[in-house]
Amino acid sequence: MANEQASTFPDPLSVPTPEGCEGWEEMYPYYVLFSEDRAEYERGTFWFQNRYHLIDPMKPFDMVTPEFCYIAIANRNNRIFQLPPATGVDFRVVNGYGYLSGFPILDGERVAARATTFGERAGHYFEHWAEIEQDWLERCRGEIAKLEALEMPDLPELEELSLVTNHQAHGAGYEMHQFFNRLMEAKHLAWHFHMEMILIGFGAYNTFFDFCQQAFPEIDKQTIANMIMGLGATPFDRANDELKRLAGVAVDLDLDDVFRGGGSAEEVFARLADSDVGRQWLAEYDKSKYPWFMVNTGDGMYSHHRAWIDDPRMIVTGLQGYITQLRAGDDLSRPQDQRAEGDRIAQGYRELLESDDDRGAFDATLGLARLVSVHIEGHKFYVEHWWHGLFYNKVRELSSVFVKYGFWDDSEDIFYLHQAEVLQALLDMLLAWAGEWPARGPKYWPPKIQRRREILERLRDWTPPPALGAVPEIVPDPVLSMLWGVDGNSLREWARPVSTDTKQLNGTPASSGVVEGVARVVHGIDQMHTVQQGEILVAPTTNPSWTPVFSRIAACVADGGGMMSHAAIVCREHGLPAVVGTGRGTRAIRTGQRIRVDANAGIVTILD
Amino acid sequence: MGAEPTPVVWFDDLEGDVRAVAGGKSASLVEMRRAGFPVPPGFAITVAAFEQFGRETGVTADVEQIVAATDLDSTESLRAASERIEALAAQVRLPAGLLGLIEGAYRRMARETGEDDPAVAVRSSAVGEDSAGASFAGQQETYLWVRRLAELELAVRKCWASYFSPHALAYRARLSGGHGVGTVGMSVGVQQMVDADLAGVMFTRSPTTNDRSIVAIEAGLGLGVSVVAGEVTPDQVWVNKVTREIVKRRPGYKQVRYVPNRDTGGTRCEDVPEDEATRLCLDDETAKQLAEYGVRLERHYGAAQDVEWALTRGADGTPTLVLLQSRPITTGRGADRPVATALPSQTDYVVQQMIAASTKKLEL
Repeated sequence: MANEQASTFPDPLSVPTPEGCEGWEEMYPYYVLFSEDRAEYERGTFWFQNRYHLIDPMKPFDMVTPEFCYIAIANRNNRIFQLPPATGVDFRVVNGYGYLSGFPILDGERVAARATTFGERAGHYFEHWAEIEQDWLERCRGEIAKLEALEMPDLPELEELSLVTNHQAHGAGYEMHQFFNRLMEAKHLAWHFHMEMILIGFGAYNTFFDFCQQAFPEIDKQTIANMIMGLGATPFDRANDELKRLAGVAVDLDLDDVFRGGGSAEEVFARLADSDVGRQWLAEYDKSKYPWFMVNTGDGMYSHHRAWIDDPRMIVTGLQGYITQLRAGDDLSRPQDQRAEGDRIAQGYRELLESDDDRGAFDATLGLARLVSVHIEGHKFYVEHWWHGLFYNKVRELSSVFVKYGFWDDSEDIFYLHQAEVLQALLDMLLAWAGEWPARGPKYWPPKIQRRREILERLRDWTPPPALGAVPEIVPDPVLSMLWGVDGNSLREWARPVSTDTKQLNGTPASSGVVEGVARVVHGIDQMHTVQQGEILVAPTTNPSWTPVFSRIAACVADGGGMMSHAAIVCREHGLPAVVGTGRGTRAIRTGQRIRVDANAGIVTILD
Repeated sequence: MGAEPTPVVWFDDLEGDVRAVAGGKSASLVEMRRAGFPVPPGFAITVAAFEQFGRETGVTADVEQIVAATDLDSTESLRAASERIEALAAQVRLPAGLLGLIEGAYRRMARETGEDDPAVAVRSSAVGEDSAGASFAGQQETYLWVRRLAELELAVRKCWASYFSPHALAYRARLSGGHGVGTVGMSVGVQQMVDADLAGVMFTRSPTTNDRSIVAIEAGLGLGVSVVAGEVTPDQVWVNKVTREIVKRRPGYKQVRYVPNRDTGGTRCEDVPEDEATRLCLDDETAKQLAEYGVRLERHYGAAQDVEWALTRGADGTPTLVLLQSRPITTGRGADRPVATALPSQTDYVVQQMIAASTKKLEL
């Protein structure tokens, strides 16, 4: 296979700009762009497109995600834990798409020196994991409560007299600046919370995966994942259970017609408010919704990933499905025997081991992987969903002030500005508000926003190369392998010239089985209601808020993701075949086409 | 057992040290039948019969003379000796008493199968064969689809003669460390023939990585000869022992199959139509059932097994699996080495993995 081996991926400094997107770089800060200034480092480094989290071109404000997230990763991995073989993840943007790079340490002496520190520090977490996890949850909810309580100040015509009588130095201009800073700090802090435990958690996962792959060279990653999984309900399961409960209430109250009567989600809620039984249901809804329906329609990486509460389409679509299932006499309870199945598989593999040392290693590494898995599955709800949902809504509140002062027309427009630009606009606005003269923003930002909107729309049609720069020989960072699926297989796949066979897509087999059926391509939450019973879901990526739709589909194909991504986990739970990480499924497949999903081999074939 | 060892014994009636009485191959079939595996019935023409034949016909003395005059290090000399012994075996008739016992057993098989001249497989079964670490694989004789007593008698004599094939002579000479060719003994197994629709082999390991969680099945059309001899590219179906899921299905190219000559006996090779040659012949259910047998065999013997199997169909098309051989896998045990050494804490395993990862090159 020597001829298939690529020595290099495309040059990161020479990726062409799609037509009509000239000047896209202007949307992003200088430090996330490839440049001649760091060309030697950048060309000699391996960069891969983050298909799991950053599948869409990024609005400038959404840079808050990678900017804070990757500081938190490197800070935690390198400056706190001294992860032996890697310092962190560097980050670039090309044509609006996010690329990452692991930063491995290959010098044996340095690795050994770091291992000592790491053993002591990560060891503290591993040894006290359960209590730290509980403490983490309390601290995290405390920070979320602070963010909830953070109130945006008014910019009044005349400030209160009390400022004078209390001899208060600062006015509302300062308070607005402080509000902005606190918001951004909260967002930054969220990512530090996010990384506090999961990075070494992935290390624990990786250790078990590695042991299994050494002991059983043919074992597939799904099987290893199945041994770890199934520790009980995550907050996402809870959200889904609440939805099922509300479906039950709707059936009891005979509200089927209200939910299936068509119209938008808002119209459904309006109809509910019109009747006594409807209001009775709404009272139950109010009991369920917070915080569980802070689950968002994406994974919290983008501003357009709205919480169910704010975008109730998922709630209504999910309820419609569950009501239909309940009326058909289906049992909606979650598969309960998952843990038993995981135990059975683990026991089976354990029995095949030949020495006490191997069985000891198996028990120790599986035990640790299971211990950390609860947090790895659950943390997302608190950080990426609840916390981030609150954050983006507060940013929208801030944006409404800009709308009031004529900076832009729609509160969503703020997301076309980078956070540093929002600060600039804020200072522009505050000075103009304070002195009552014209700000420049109302003339300066609308054309920029318009141009950026056009560029981003065009960039959606561009297919980012899966990898850029040098082909790595060693990928020692567990996050890269566990979360983003960077391994020998994926590198080979990424290095292969783009297949001329448009009828076949390759991806990661994430949940086994083979199914043929009709494809339903769903780009986002607004199309979720179109999914019909027995269809094969083809999506850019899926996330916990999509879970209700999995009870209807026959298989799932996702552009992004790896073994630990949502589609993979839920499909394994439901026993549905899944191929993830195809890269271009939503572009290559059209709704209505017959496709064959071979999730044993990781191949999707278009049959029509 | 009386003082005189019995020359012909049904598999299910063998007692005591079966290996010494009936040879390795038959002993293995006997053990499988006793453990409840679906192995076709048959009888052993025992080591005692071989010895009786040699004694009563004077062949033993002749053979010993030939062997004594043979240079065991010379291929040429070995071959010449072997040819002389085979010619001897072809001339000498079986003693009437022994032939009568074989005929009696064959007639009983005829009664039990309801056929006048049931087809049987006649196999040499040497003592010391098929034991762990010392496989005679391919060095001994098998005659398939043998019908009628005269053919059976000839096959038995040929099996006995094969005990003195150049390979076998050289092999035993090596085993004995130069002290002659030994007289460890030779038996012949006579087993009811299976009219195989499909047949092949099964390893209770991955043949490529030696992974212990894999049962690898190879399947061809007709009798198993085409697969065992490597004449066709068999279908490959792998089953995971733990999850019992099929983890690989790779159709081969099975351009020929061996089928019986129903009238004249023996087998012939016939061409297979292209579409059948390339189509997967082994279905999931059969593969899983085979794997189940593989797991049970491995557990029974306490070692990885190399199994021969066949699938036969009744008049109504009902498939039945039978096992024809199981022996320990004698190669590639390297991967059974432990992969881990015990460490004091869970954290230590993570640290060790990370240090190892910093030098582990990806397979690109």
